[in-house]
Order: sequence, then C-alpha cells, then structure tokens
Amino acid sequence: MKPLKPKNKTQHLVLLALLFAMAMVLALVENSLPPILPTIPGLKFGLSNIVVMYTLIFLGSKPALAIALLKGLFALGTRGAMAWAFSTFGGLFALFAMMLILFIFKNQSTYLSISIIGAVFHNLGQFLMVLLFYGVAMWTLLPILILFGIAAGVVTATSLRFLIPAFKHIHREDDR
Amino acid sequence: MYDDRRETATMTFFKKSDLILIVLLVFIALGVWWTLPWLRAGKTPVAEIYEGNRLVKTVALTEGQTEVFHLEGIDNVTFRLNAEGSIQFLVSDCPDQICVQTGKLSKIGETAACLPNNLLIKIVPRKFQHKDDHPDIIVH
Repeated sequence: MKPLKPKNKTQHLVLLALLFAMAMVLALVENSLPPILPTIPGLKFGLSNIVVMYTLIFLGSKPALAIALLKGLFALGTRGAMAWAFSTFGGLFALFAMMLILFIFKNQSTYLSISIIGAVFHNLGQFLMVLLFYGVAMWTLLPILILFGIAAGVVTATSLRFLIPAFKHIHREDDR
Repeated sequence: MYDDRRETATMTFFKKSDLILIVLLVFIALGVWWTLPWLRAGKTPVAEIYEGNRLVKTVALTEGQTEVFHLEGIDNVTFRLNAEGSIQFLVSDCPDQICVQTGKLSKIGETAACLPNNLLIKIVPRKFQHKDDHPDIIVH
C-alpha cells in the first residue's frame, strides 16, 4: 500500500482528527470491557495502539507523536491525572521503540515485530512509571508484562492487518 | 527520526525472523522470572509488633526459624514465629479470639490485631522498618 501524502494542511488536519477519533473510540471500548486478568487491573491489549501504528507507518513519526500525546490528554479528561501520566509515558516509550525499529530495519521490519515491540515497551514504560510513583519495583509483574506485551502485540498487529482494507479508500483518495 | 514513509508502507505482516524476536522476549521474561528469588534474597519481610502506638518488637521473618515468645510484661498473649517465614498470634486471653483466628501473616502489608490487649502485628518490607519510635499508626 502507498504511504499517505496529504495534499495540504487541511487534509492533514482532517486525517489526524479522524485517526484520533478512532483512537478515542478504541480506548473507550477497551475501558468498558472487563479486565483480562482481575489480579492486574491495568492489563489491556492497548487497541488504540493500532491507530498509532498505522499513523507511524503510513503518515510518519510526527503525526504518530501527536496521536500518542492526544491519547494521553484523552485519558486525562476521562480518567484523571494518573491515567494521563501512565498513558503518555507508556505511549511515548512505545512510540520511540517502534520508531527505533523502523529506523534500524526500515521496510525489512514487519507489522508484527513493530506491534510487539510497541506493546512490550508500552508495558515497560508503565512499569517504570509505577517505580517512579510508588517507589516499589513490582518485579513479579515484569515477566507477566513482557509476555502479555507479546500477546497484545499479536492482537494489535492482526487487527491492523485486517483493518487495512478498510483504510484503503483513504489511500485511493490520495492518488487523485 | 525516521520519516521515510515510502519504505515503511511496503512492509509485510510477518516474517520468520519475527519468531526470533518473540523467542528472545520470552527468554527475557523467563530470565527475570528465574532471577526473582535471587533478587529477593536477603530481603525477608519484618514483623513489627505494636502495643498501642508504641513499637515494642521487630522480628525478621527468616525462614527455617521457629520461636514461641511473649512480650515483656504481657504474659497473656503468646506469639509464634513459624519455619515458613510467618508470624501469628498463638494464644490470647481475649474473649473474641479474632487475633488468633487471623492466622499466619507472611506477606508485606498483612496485619493482625488484638484490640482487647491493644496489640498489633504488621508485616513491612525490611527497608521500611522503623529506626526510631515514631508511630505511623495510632490504635486507640
């Protein structure tokens, strides 16, 4: 599929707004689901990472950064300051890790690897956040977070794979 | 940072080399899991026993150590340190026996109280152990 090249600022803005709206909906839907493991309340697949990944791959790192930061603000509005800190820190950690992978491997990297790296680093970022805020390293959580990150990465990569046909008309519009 | 979208947009979904990444991450996770007991070694939790708001005694919950003891001047309550690294109210003369029924405490954050005798056991991590006598909990 071709990369997205917005013709002007308006198109760029609209595209970003659409993507952010998608991220918000995914985050909302996910927050309303029951926890996957009741013992670890924060454990989620991070479905809105699908949008961040898509933005990073097809639009570039700056728009992806914008989406990640906006996602944090959305968490601030709906779930409070703590959620903002966790969302933003985890999100940026994940984004920078994904950018690094893309930078090293270019188009030799795959959706799956980027997604897994993103999810694992999202979890690592939040683990560091717990360390910062509470001063306790919950080491027992770390292996679970890594393993779950792999699972979450597979889920988001697969979702993106199946969603890409739905994104196609945006790209077609782009060719005109 | 990376912004050459023309290249990344042609990525494939999966390559066999991705398995290396997954296996690597699984091994890291297992590695952390296996080194956990080693990280924790020498960090046995500590039981603090309070009378009222006064810290009377601290006991390290060392494994393999069994001990039955009284506090000085309080003979009507007996404590026991168990070999698996736990502590409990063994005998108490109070009417409700809630403290005895609470059973063994071993995890950080667990507490047992005997209100009639004004006694409290609290399990804390070693580094949070009180060096001085300032109370952080007041039992009336």
